[in-house]
Amino acid sequence: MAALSAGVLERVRTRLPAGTAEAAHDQAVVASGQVGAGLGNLVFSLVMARLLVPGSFAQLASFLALYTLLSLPGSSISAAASLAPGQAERIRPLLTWGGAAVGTALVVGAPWIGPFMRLPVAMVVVLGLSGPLLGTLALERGRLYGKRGHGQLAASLIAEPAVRLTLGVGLATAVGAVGGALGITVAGYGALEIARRRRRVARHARAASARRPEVVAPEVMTSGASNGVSGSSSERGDGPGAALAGALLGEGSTGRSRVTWTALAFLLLVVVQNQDLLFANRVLSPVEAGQFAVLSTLGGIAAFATLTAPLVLLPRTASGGRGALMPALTVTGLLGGAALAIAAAAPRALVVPLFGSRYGAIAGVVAPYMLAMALLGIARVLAAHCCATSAGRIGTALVAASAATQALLIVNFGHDPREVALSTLAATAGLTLSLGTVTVFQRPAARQWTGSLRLVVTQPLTLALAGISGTAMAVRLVIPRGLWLDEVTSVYEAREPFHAMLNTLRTSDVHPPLYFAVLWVTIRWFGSGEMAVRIPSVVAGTLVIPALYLLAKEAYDRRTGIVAAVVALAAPIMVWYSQEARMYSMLMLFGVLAMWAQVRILKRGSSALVWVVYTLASAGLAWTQYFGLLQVAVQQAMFLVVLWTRRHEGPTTRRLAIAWALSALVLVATLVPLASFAHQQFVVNQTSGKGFGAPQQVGSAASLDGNHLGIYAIIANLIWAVWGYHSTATMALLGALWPLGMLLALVVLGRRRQSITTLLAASVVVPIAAMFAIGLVKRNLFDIRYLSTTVPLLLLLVARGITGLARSRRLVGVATAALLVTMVVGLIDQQYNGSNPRIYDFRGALGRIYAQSRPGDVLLFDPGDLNQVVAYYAPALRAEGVGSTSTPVLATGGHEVFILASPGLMNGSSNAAALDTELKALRSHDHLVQRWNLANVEVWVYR
Amino acid sequence: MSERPLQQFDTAASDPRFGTPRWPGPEQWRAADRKLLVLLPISIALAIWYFEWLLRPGRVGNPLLFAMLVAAELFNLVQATGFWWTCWHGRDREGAPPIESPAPAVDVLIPVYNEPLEVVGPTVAAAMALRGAAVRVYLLDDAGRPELAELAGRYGATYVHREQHTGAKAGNLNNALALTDAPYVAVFDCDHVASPEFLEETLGWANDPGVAYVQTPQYYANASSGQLTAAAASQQSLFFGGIARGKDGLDSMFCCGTNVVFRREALDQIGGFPEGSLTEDFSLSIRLHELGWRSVYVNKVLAQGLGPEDMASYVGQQQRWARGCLAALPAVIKAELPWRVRLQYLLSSMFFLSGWTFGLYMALPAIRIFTGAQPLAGATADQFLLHFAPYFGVSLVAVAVAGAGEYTFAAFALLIANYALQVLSTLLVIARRRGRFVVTAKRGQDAPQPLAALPALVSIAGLLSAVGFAVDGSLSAATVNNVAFATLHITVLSVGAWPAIVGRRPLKAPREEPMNVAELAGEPA
Repeated sequence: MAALSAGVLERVRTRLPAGTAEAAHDQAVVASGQVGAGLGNLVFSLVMARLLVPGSFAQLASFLALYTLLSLPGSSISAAASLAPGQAERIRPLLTWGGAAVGTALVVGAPWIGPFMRLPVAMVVVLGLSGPLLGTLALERGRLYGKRGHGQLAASLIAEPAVRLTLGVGLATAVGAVGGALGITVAGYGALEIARRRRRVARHARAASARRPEVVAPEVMTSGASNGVSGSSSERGDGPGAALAGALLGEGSTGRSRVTWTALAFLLLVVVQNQDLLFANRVLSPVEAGQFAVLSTLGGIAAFATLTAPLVLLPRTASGGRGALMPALTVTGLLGGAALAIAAAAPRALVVPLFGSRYGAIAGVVAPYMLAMALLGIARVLAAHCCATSAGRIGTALVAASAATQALLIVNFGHDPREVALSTLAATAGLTLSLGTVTVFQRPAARQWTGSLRLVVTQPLTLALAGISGTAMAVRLVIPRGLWLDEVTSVYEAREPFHAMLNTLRTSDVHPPLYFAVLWVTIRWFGSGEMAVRIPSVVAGTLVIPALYLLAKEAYDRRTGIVAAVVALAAPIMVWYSQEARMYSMLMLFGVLAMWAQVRILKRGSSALVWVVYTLASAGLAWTQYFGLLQVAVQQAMFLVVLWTRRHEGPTTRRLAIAWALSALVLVATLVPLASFAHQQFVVNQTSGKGFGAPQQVGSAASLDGNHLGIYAIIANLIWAVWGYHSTATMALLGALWPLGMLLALVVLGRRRQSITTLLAASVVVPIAAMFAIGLVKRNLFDIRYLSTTVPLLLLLVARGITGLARSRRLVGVATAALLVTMVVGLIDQQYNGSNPRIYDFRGALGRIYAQSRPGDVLLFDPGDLNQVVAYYAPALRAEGVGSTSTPVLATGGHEVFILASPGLMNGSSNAAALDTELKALRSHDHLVQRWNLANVEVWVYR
Repeated sequence: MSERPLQQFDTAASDPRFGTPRWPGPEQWRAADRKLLVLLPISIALAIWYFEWLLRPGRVGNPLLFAMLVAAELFNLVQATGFWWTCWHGRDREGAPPIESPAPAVDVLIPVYNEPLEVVGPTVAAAMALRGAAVRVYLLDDAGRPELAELAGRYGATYVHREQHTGAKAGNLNNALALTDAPYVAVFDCDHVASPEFLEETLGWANDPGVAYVQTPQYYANASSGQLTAAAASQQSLFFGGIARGKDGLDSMFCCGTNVVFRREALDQIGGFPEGSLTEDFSLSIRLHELGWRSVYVNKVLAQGLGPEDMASYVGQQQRWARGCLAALPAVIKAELPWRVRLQYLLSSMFFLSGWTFGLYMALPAIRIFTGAQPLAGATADQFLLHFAPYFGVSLVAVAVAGAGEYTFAAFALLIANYALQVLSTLLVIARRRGRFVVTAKRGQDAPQPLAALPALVSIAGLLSAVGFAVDGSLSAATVNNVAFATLHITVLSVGAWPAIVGRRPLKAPREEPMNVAELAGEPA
């Protein structure tokens, strides 16, 4: 295999530049060895599966899993050693004795560990024997990478499966699983022995250095010169690579830093590759976890195949050699692409023969997961490149961020193997993209024009804002609740073909189409899982943070910008709608952008680009939610006021007027088709008797006085805007704090009012007043979600209040922290208190019903609008709406009837009456087996 | 002020009285008038809306508390109505009439008691530099300090020292009146540095033989020396802004004792300054108006003085004003004054009864928490909020507008924190206890003065105990509502008493200049 690949690439090599050709050759040699090792190990596993009885094979598989687990830090050790091969001698005892200590512990603990792991004690002892091996093998291989002993490395890689397939198979035949395990361990020692042979390596290294003097790193040359040592001294560890090795022990900060970041980055990459399996075991059911284990095994093959490419690249790039990146990417891309192609072409053929038909259901996810692993391979190469150059810190940070994002995504959205796999795909795709961007910026051609960008990016303020935005995204990704009715409705509408979706919106919805169009695209790209459908909101809800900072900075100053961003980070209502698959988060983003553009225009004069931003954002407001027009109207009025006050200023005002007129013209042009759309919605809804009101209203009880629109409704909305949604009882107490609002009114007494503040305040007050007036006719419409545009602006005013009143930085910090604490408390209560009337735990209820149900059971739900929710979470259940049949449904033949009701969503008395009738019938005929109360969801189980 | 030869004053460079005063201009007052025009009908409607609700049958909770609440609210309604009525008549006098030729003689009287030389010196020098009249400056030293005589001599002023120290400031002035004979008399407190154009801007208004005096604002140039002074200055700005303009429009501006020019004839007619009053200026004004004399107010800062810099000084000053004005109430009632002038004096005197209402408002939540008794019945908190909040809000806006944005929260808090002072003054006046004229100290103490704010601190402690009592029990919405009210009062009292608790601390300059309307609108700021 290795010879074949090398032969093919040899022809390519002659056509490439010297550095690239040699790098390609090295990659080909090592990749061949790695692929050969992978295939050999796979064959060994398949042979063992045939050779051993199932129980024994399971034991051997477990042994392999533990062996792999102990080997996990291996790539990190190899990566570090490849950069400091001369230090292998020094580090080896540490790894050997450390491994021996672990091994001894395993051997001593074998009588207890074995039964606990359901493994033969002897197998645990064999595992303990591997202790001194694993770290040392990784070290030796790393040394070979660093000294360019690629042929020997390939031999070491190939040796392992070779010994397994010979000695291991023989031992397994003789003594069973323990023999197989022993074969694996001996194979490892064999590979180690091949890797440790020095003479050939030294010869190869000397030959290589004679051929490629340019690959010697500057620091190596310096070190060598100062020590007066020759190239042959590499045998002693103080020749080529001695500077890096010395750095490892503190002899050079650059080298030490490089090795440290490399080791850390590769360790984190191991986490990215493997943590999904651990999380899957934790968050999925056993059956699903098993399915994901299959995925992980297959994906692991792709990841394993590409593992060597970055290690080959590392020492060459670190020593200043060029042309190593492209071959590494090519090899990785080819291997990953091949794996992906196979997985995409015949996933079922890959899964069923290898793992059995019961894992067939996972076949559809193999390709995305293989793509994730292929991307991880590329990311590993890019990370290695970053570490080998001067970007190790940022590369490591990006890998860490990716690992954290992956964990967050899985915890929040990983409700089945597909979603776990997609989480990993999202994390690896993001990692690849970001590392790729860093790599591109490192190119000499890019450095020139990115110089100024680099300056900006490295500013503490920028970093602070990036940190706030990153934290905001993390906060927004922690989503403890499932989809509720409106979200599922959005998903079902966006699942339709585009024209059908528009038609549905025209005929049965009351919202403009922009958000649904975005969701439509999202679903096509990412599917309709919980995580996928919330992506637009999460993204918009995160982007609104830097946008709000820009607005605050433009309107006031940087300090206000930072305070506003920090406040928005934890603002419960902003978090809530950043997590809801609805349009309100986008509405906030458009509102802030439109306001930013207007403030900039008024303060700094016209700029075509800013006018475009203003016009598009204003159009976006209207196309996302009709009530967004309220802010558009306020902003347009402000333009008119300013034009009037500046009417005597001549050319400046004329330019402003012309730009405004053009903008208004374009805006009107964008609104004309929307008006037609809205008119059709209005006509259809009026004709059908539904009226042009809000869709299903939730949480209205939390506005303290229920259906009566009073002054407490305003207070409730203001509390929601700043401190989020809470239980009715909590809202009653919070509402009673209104006298503190008088204090606020007093505090602003005598404060210098700025026109920007007037504009912002008008953009908050006018929509609230308008919606209050509308709410007098249609109560449900006076709700903070329809006033989403006001929330960031209100928070900005709060931030301005803090920075305006507190004169010292410390006081600003204290006031901000105090507010933040109250908001975080509000956020936690909003997100996790089941008494929050806006939380509907359909996911929990239907998941439990699904897990408990058997064929023949029936689910009845009330109100009937929940049909899509039921279909989303429990598509396999036989379900119908309460009252949809002429006679009550009763439990027969030992089957169960589940009743799921959400009183908060029941409009009118007919739903309640139907539920009452059904429950009465069941009570008289059947037995109540169980009753659950989840957040705003009640479930009865009758048998 | 900048045109003045600063080199003649030893401390001119660092003396805030030579700075540019921050005072709204005519355009800002006109804008305020326009806003008040809009606010008035709204305010009337909201007052009716609130009182109609408050006085509905069945609203009576605890009868005693209800009666007290209604009395307090009606008192404040009267004050608010008077405030509106006054501000409604705001008058701006622009372009002073030319002074009659030949320029008349003016005796400038500067009474001094024990103030430091560095305070008095610039005042004397500035008086000597007054333009527009034949000025003779008299330094009326009631302490007999030789260094003051030297100071007067240095600047060319006449030093006057009397043997018998009767009648406090009024007696000192009367002594000087007997020694002088110019047809006009200008009076400056010894810390008030006049602008050279002071007489040019004021004397022309006295061409009308019916005008007894021309008053100008009392402006605290040392507002940045501490929170308390800033708050006191803010209080002054409301009075000498919207209120004094209105009083002038109603021909009822009373004399404020400094920065004023008198017609000697008018003073002679009433026998000089009344010596039996703590507020000789207020009593003098009543008598002059009673005799048919008129007054003029020029809303332009033409002299800059020093406000109280510590709580003890402020309390002393306010107590003197409160007792003097309250003691003048019988005289106001008896005086034969035009009805609107009489009402203006009544409003000014009765303002110092406001402390009683503040005290009641603070006590109500504590009473509710401790005893459960409350003044209102048949009303939910949201109904109260719905009817009261708009009335309260618009009243605040009106105050802000009438003061042209100069009236601050600190000023309000300082007033509230000294509510007990007004209560005590009322009691002392009722008990006919004679007060002593205490000169407001011109240099404050830096150390904390908790005793000066003792009533506020005791009130805070009482309210805190109520909050603690409430929090310890079960928290209903109604209790939380009263806790919030108590917290509101605690905060206001704390802000007001803060200067006494921490001592004097100079204010920091604003971090940045805010962008104003003109800037946004593209106009030159």
